[in-house]
Amino acid sequence: MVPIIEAKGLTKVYDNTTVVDNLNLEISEGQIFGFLGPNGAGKTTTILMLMGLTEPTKGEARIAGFNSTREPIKVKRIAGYIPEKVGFYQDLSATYNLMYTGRLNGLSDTKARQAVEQALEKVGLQDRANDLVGTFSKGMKQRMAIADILVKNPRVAFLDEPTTGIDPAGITQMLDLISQIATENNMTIIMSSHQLNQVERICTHVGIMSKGKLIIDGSINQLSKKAAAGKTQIEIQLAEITQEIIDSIKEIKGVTKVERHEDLLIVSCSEDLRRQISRAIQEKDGLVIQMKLQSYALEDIYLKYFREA
Amino acid sequence: MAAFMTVFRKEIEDHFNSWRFIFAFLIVFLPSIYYVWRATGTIREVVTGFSHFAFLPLFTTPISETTMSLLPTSFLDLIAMLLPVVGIALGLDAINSERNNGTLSRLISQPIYRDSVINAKFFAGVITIAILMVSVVLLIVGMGIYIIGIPPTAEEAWRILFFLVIAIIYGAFWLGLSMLFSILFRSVATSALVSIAVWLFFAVLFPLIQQLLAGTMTGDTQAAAIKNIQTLILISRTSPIQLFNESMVMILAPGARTISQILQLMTGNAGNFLLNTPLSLGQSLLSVWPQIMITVLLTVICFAISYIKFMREEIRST
Repeated sequence: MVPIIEAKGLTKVYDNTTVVDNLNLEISEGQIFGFLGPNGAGKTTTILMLMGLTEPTKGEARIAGFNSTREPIKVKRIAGYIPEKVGFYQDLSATYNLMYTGRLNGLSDTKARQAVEQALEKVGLQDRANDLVGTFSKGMKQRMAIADILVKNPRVAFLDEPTTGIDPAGITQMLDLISQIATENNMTIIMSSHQLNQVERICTHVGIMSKGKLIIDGSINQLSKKAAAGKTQIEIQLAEITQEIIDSIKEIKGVTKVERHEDLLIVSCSEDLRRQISRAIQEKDGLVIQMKLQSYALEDIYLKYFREA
Repeated sequence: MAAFMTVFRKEIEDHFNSWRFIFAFLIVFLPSIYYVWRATGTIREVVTGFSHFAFLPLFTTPISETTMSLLPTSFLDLIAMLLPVVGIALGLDAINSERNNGTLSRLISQPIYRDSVINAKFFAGVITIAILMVSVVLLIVGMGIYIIGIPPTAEEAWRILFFLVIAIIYGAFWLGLSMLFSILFRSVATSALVSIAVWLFFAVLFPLIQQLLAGTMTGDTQAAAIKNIQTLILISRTSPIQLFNESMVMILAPGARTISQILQLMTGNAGNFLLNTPLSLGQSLLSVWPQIMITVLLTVICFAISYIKFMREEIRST
């Protein structure tokens, strides 16, 4: 499959400081790509170069085959971008702000109005449609940003730190929205973040950046498996924990440790042994309420580079 | 082009919905009423003198005897002084407020060329200035007709029209200048201060410097005196405000010769030295053509610098 986003040897140098260093990246259509890295790793600069908003010092970026530097208008027609500190015209209504985006993308007034109504409903701001954006909270503005993307409805959307500065409930809502629009509108989404747990929650693919270099990239499953050896933990919630069950789990090959924390059992093992464990529990007539696989592999990689940066 | 129209439409709507526009209008309109009303009081003496127009002196008659004062002397002077404020007010935060609000990076990530952003903002400002000036002048003309009871003649109407056109170009220059500062400076306060400083320099300080220079110049012979005057005129022409004033006097008060014209006539063909005959409309326009062109040129220079700066700039939201 032809990748929708392609970067070859992308490099950006500002006053002798290399911010992005020979970055190669391919993202296929339909992925939700989590772009991880500490602050200052070069995520935003990479996104700007991919969008054609900044000229790369070396290398080239392509979106759906269009060169971002030489055909920026064509790129901007199929790619949307929400900057980290997204802003709207404070003294204009939510509807007007989004209508403006629609018109700039060549929608007629009637079509833009339709798209705006749908988008506002999707993000749950339909009741505030005619209120000035200046009266909105930070979380609402972030949802406006998602509505903005929905009005434009691009094939590719770059979201730069879409969850900064909003409360936990808002973050959950935001992540749900992002994964929803990715599937419903068949949109490829590149979301940058420095929060691994958020990225793991919705992204299908992930790339970790540090000091301008892309250290690792691939699908989340693949990456977790690759670095999983001996570092998998399974969290089991049982209706009742008996010593019998604990013993039988300990006997499974590959299990290194079983710990009990109140009503939870934490099983450390070399690989994903959920199937074997649940079978063992069933044999002892135990009732599993919940079983969760926790892989710290990705986090380990991430933290390692995070500390170095 | 579609993107240009979209931005243009929004900017026009913004201007007309803003308090700033209402204030700008009042700042020009209220003193205008006063100046024209005062002028109607002295118009009888002026018209019975040697003016060939009965209506236009409303715009050019000084309302007081003290010419040394820094206050504007006539309606024309008033417009020369206040139109820059309108232009600056409409353009001083054109780009940097969008940058600070984070709307600029969202705007330029839409499929539009960057220059359409500047162009649309500039033309929206020019149209706003045009509408403001046309309304003020129409109201003033109406008031003039009501008070003195004579309407302008056809030629006078044409001259008022040209006055409007040149005034709009003049306002556009100040708009372009303040937009340039809004690109150069990140903070709205800085760009506003710099724009106002430039205006203050030309409106207040510049005439003072001129007077100072004139005081230091000495010349015994007639030739030396003429040379001194020429130097002073040359200096005065570096001020956009003086350029506008000079050209406007020639359009609205064709009977009154400016010093530079008198000088030209004296040093040139003395046979043309016919003080009491007003220049025809065509001749008036021809004689102010250089002043108009310089104002246009200054605007173009502001624009060129704005383009170079804005097109190459990287725009980040943080």
